Amino acid sequence: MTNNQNKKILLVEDEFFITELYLRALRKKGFQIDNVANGLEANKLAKTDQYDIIILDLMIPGMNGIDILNDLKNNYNLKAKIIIATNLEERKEVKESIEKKADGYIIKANLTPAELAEFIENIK
Amino acid sequence: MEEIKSIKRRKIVFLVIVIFIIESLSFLTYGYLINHNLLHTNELIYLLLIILLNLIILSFVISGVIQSTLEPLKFIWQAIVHFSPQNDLEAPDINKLKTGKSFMTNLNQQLITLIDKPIQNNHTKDKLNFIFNNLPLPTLIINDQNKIIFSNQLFAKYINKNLSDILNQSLNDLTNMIFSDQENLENWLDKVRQKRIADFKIFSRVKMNIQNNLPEKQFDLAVYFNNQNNYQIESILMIIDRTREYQQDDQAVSYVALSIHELRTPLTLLRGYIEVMKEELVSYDNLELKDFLVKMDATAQQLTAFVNNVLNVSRIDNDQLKLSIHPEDWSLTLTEAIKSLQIRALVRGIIINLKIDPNLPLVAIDKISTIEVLSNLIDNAIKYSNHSKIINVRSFLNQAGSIETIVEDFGVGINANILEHIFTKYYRDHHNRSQIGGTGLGLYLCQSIVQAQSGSIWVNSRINQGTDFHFTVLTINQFKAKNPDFNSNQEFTSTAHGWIKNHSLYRS
Repeated sequence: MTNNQNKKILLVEDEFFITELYLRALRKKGFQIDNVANGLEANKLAKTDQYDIIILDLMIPGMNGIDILNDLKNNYNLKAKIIIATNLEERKEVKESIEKKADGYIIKANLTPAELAEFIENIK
Repeated sequence: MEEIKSIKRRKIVFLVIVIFIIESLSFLTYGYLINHNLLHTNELIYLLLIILLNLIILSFVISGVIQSTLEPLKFIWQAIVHFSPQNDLEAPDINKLKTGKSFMTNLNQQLITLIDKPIQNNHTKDKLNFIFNNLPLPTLIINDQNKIIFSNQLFAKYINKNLSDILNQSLNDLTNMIFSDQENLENWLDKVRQKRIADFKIFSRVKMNIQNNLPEKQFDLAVYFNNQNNYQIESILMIIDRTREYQQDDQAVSYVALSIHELRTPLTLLRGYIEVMKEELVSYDNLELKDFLVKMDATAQQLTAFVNNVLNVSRIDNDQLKLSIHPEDWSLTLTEAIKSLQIRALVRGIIINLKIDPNLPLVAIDKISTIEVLSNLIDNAIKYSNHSKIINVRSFLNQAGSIETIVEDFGVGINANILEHIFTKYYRDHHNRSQIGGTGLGLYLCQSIVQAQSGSIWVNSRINQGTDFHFTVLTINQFKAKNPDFNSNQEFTSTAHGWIKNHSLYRS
């Protein structure tokens, strides 16, 4: 828990209810969290390099998740691990993002918020 | 009912009167012919005509009275209609027609006999060409090296090639047939070559991409194998095109999958809020409310499993189901999976007994997909448990060196004649269809996943005693032996139709 308090997370998610649930579960684990619902804003915030983990939805307004991932991984050397969180399991997209060096991905429908928080906690 | 019986009775009485009149007329005619000395040279023809007329009428009477005598006529009619030139009627489903299978076998047997006669004889060769080119089905003959030694024009047209480009080519190089089952033409032929002189098999739902810009073909493939001849002729292959029919099925699933995809977000939320409520209700005393919440959770989980099934089957159809094989601790995977599935059984008062042999070796699996297999088998066991309240799950190292897992229920059981179809897509036991819900996709998905991991799945069942499903997964060492390049850091990706290694198709 103490360890988690030092970890800063950026949650990029535009679905209000999911944000609410994820924030609750992650806060329970003690993480510090910022959340944004817009891709452009997310991209700008990520570049400040203050986050340890970025949880990135693929379908978000402004700039889509794949483009953000591309931009951050190709042009910046950030310390943050980027985890794709999506229900767009059509593996082409997931595969595409892994190939573009995402540090992990989760299918939102397969994990409850508590399980997601546990998954994030286990990221070294 | 009474009315139908009375109509039938009237029909019979009417027909008997008609026969009586015709028979009387026949005798009168015969008598007239004799009396007037007309029965000379044409005597026999007249007699034959009369007998023939009587026979025709009698056969109608018999057919009318005994409906079942019409059945063979129906099959012959279907075959004639289908084989008649320029018809656009769909081929009869030879799997469904009992006589269809023997019809195909007989036809092929005759062709083989014909081919077996000295082929140097031009007459025989012409006859063969004539027969093959008049068959309304794309047909080809391959030798024991899988090389095409004969093809009719229709097959050439079917794969969009010239006839001259096909001959002497290897069938595998020329076509890329994707089989819906783990048993494909190649391994079936390997098997029968070792054991049999002649055999027959129909592969259903075979897919073939002709060219990138052409639509995919889907067909049933009838193969007649016979290696007892002098001319290296081994198998006759006939294609029964079903593209239109099968695509309709697949499109239906794709459409459903598209719609069902939209269920995922609300389901994620539903499960999320249930989780929050469960956490908050821990210190709450209302046991009934807690019980309702557990049931709600189980139902949401069941709905998630259903959504995943439909999406996965749609992926198999589109060749998009890819599994990532990693070394996993089987005991841990199974225990975790059963723990989460237990809730679905418990809300129906069913207990899952889990027994895992100690010290099992690591296995090579895609964890999420394998849990889906277990989830489907457990859901099935729950569904068909009837009044029984126990499901046993056992796992052990079997004699073949693989890890075998058995999911056993003591419920209604499955009829023997249904067992062989149970893993077929969309197949549902019609006896239970009206009583127990389902889509006919779960077991098909289980088979696809298990086989994509190089395992096997099978079932034993006894009516009113229960059913046990068995499936195997490979140990990491077995997997390494099969795939020498595998190391635990490398991800092996498998589709439901074969392995993909380093992005290129690799057949195991």
